[in-house]
Amino acid sequence: MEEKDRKILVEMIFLGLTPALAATINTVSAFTMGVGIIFIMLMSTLVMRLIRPFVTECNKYFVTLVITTLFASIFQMFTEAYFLDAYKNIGIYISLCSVNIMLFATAQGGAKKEEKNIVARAFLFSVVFALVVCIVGAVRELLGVGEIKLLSLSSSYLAANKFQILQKAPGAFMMASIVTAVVAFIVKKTGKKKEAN
Amino acid sequence: MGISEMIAVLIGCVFVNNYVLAHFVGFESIGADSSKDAKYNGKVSLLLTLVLIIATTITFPLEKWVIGTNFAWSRNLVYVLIISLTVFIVEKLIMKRISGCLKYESINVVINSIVLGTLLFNQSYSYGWLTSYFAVIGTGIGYFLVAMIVSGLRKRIDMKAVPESFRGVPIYLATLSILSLAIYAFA
Repeated sequence: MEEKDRKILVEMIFLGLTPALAATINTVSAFTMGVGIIFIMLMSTLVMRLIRPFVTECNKYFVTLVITTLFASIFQMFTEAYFLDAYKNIGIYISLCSVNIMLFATAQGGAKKEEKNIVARAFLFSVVFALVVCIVGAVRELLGVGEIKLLSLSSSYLAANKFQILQKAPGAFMMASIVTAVVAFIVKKTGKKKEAN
Repeated sequence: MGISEMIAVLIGCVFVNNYVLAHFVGFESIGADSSKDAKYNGKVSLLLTLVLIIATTITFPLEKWVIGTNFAWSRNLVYVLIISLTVFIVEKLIMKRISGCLKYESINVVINSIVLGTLLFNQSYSYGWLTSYFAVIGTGIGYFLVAMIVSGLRKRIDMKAVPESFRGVPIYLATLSILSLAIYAFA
């Protein structure tokens, strides 16, 4: 990953947080949202790349909105049909992916001529983002409930000493703050190492 | 629903059920623009409230008689198109005459998840038509409140010695966490 991409990644994680924060209440929802973000980001960028000749300065916002909404709706219907438990938790937030600034900006990048390898970069960003979402979900579930449902892990000590606030909105913001600080720290360290080499 | 319940919905949307702090919608745009002054925040909040009122007027009957019956699959697309159209109308007809709004602000509102989020949450809570208006006005006031608090706090935080990794986005999220905790205490 290049230096420019690393900086964009930190900004991206922040800009895409709306659906991610709600989805990290447990690992099942976090995993579903992660898969959804990969699907929506990849497909909308790919389609924008393919229809690039028809996208002009006048219609680019409108076309991007329609395409991201289309793929968000497809994924929402898929989740409703096959993963009803996760859908009950994050149904509205999958819809909100259609106006998510991260997905919107990446899809719009697909229509730009000067952007090289945008589809591969969108895939890489979305995979890293999905990983971050899953990690936050696992930590929130482990400390807040005392188990990780997706991996069938549980701890009787943590179940008896729950941080219940982590299951609520303040806990989500708190975890997001810590994760973005850790990502910023890692990005800075790896950047410095590269400079030294 | 009586008038007292409607006022409760309005106050709830400003404090207890604040969509930014309790449902995580729209906080990215506040974070990105938090260096802006009260005038800018006021303009965006006013545009947001006007868009929400007009969009509710259009989406409520559509939801009741068209989308809610057999076309639930088209809800997201219809809502997004109505929001885009409403922002265009509000900017062209109203905001330009009042304050000469910048184009950037209207784009900000279109892609701001709080607009779509509010409409979808109001629909999922099964609010009536009149109650939805109280909810959207409360959302506009709540958004302005959070934007002003965050803007004031960020100016103060920037003056303090914050650890390097926590500068910018992480400290903003930590601030929101404490604000959210304060609002959670109301519930």
